[in-house]
Amino acid sequence: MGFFRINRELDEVFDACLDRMARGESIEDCLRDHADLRERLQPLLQAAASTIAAAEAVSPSTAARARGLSRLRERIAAGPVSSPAPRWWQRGGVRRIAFPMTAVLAIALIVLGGGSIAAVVASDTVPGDDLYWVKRTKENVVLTFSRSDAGKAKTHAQLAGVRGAEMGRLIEQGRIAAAESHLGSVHQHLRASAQHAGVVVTLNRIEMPSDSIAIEDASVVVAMIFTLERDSDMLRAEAMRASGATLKEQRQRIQRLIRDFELSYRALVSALYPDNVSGPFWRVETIGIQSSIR
Amino acid sequence: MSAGVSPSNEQIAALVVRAQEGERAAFEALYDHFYGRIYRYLSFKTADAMLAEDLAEEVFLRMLTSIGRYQDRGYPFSSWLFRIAHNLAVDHFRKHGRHRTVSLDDVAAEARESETDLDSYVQTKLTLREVDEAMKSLTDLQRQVITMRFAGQLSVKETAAAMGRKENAVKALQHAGIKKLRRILVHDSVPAHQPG
Repeated sequence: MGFFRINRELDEVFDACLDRMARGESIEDCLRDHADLRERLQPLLQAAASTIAAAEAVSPSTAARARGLSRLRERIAAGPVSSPAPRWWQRGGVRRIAFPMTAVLAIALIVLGGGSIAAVVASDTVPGDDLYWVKRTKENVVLTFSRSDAGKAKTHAQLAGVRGAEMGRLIEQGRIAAAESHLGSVHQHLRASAQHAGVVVTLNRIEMPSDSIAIEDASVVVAMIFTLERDSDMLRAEAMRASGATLKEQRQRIQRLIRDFELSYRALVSALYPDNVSGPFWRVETIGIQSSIR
Repeated sequence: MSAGVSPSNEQIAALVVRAQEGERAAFEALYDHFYGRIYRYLSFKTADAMLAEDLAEEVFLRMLTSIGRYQDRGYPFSSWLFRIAHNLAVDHFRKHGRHRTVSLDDVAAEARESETDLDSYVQTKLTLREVDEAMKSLTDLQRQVITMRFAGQLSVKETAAAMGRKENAVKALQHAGIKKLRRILVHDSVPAHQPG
């Protein structure tokens, strides 16, 4: 018990000393008031002082600070930015009950209404926007209702394009890190599309191929190729245009993003073509799709 | 932990209310007050200056869209904001792994370009490099506490709220983290034994 009590006391005193140091007092000032703990306290405070000094040496560049502020201003100028403060019925226990009910209602509306107002409003949203979840929910519902593999393959290919367009908008807003994070969603849709189309496309040679089912209808494959090629070209052009207004280092990151994005698209398109071949960075395996196209 | 004129908690609370009403000046004041701390926190967390800049920008855009949902109720605004920063960094690493592009060392070099005292400049760089290395030996929770407390300059109460832990637990983690940091920093600064 004694050990824990002393440790607890040391925790408290150490923290109090840190506060005093933050207010400009010296280590010695604090040690003088806690002579009984000096031996244990001193090394801790010295290490803390080194850490604080290291932290204080890190400062944002003036350019980065100004860039962030200007993005914030642009966003404010673009219109209503924040969801309203919660009302009484959204607080505490009421909200815990109300939220799932609202979600169920919203999903029902989306499913039953098809083009409900919320879904239309949400169609232009990007990650981080308030109504983005409406858009994703609608997509999930559409995917759930796509029964055939061909339907699912087509829907996933279209959704990859939607994610790509969102990526383009994020780049346009200067949110490069968010765009990089979003690339994963594009990959997910392309991978799912490939899986349902009956091809295994992997950029990672040690990745295990998943179970795949072939599409019987060749016209679906042709439509998919068209969608993928069109989206890839369009998104490349949009991202390139957006990158023109950014700084050099950001431009390099955007170009890397575009390369990664294009590679994923090209791999799937190559896999879907009847005379598919593996590229230098990807591997293509077909499972029954060739016969259905030829 | 630096001393300086900064708004009191009451003033920040008032700014938050005005920002919730959509007042542009209030958003800018919050940005001004928190940007440096958020950036420093993210720099320590990611050890990548460029990524820290991007994520810091993203934190404030998220603040803009979500501030309407923030309610005080004993949960400080700073904790809420750092929670956003933490989640964004974790999310980024989950999706991309850890790829360091610009080290903390470079950040310090940039920050201290105008430093006239060469000794002090070199010392800062050495300290920063040592601390950066030593931080890797901490547990995730210890690192989180040290980063929030020293880089983010959050109080124990704010850190506890941001991490969803008790204040006593934060103090204990802080103590253990600093103890371990010290052990490594002291060990590294002792010159290797030269035989003979």
